Amino acid sequence: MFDLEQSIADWRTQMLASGIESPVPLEELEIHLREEIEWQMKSGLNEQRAFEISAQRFGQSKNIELEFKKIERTFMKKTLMCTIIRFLGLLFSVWAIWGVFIAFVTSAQYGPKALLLHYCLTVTVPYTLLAILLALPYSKLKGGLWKVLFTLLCLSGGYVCLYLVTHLPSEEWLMIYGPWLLILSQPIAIWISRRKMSNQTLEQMK
Amino acid sequence: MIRKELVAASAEPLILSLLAKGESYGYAIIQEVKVRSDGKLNWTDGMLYPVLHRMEHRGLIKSRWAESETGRKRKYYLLKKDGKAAMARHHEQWSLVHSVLSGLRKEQYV
Repeated sequence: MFDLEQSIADWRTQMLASGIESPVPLEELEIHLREEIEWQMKSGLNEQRAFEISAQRFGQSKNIELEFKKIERTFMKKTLMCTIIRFLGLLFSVWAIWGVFIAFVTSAQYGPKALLLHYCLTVTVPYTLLAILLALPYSKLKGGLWKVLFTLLCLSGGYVCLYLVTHLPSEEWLMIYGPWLLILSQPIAIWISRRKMSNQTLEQMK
Repeated sequence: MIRKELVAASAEPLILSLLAKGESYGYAIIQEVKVRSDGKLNWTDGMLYPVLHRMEHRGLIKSRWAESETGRKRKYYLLKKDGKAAMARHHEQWSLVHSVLSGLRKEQYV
């Protein structure tokens, strides 16, 4: 005697054995199977035949699991990337804030160079904050390659500021124009990143 | 029978377009596609769910559990803002392919 509930339980076991362990997809799949069985029975088939056809229509459990695994892998990759970027951003923020504090304390003692260092470190903070803001939506697994690139660009922007302090020839020139250039570069960086994000994000999410 | 590559490629635009009419659930989506294609576009039922879950992860659609009028629990899918944009892009691309194909076909009969 055919037992529909037992057959569905067996089908569920088969799905579990193939690797669909998460309860949400499995429950959803079972609900679908039950709806199809119901529909087949309404069209005149008996329980056994309705179950057989429905299970067959559902496809091989291995193939379904393979597709779910692919999604899981992408999810893991994006989460890892997000965590690394956030960690870098946090590390850089702490370091930049500490640098600003030290520069303030030492500017009276060491003169314009320390003050310049202060300027540069100050503009690294918005860069870093922007980088973190860019990285944040990854918590919802949105965004794509362009976001990662611009996040890294903003992070490296901070490092460029620091590089300028020690490697440009004239301290005087830097004192006058350097901070203004760096400050002006902020909205440009934000504008470019937002523009690129809006146009490219969806394309790159695939 | 339509080739499986084409069936796979058309899954996302079709789902997005169906959800643009209102929220729906897996079984209903499959049924509607079947009816609209006169049974020619036959998806393997189980393979729809990885597609739906992937689209959800990408932020194109979102889902919610609710009870149907018959009391059965169902997972309903809704279109998100990014999904609407993706749908518009799909329409544009598929229209382009269609117009190129139509143009070439017309030329064959000239």
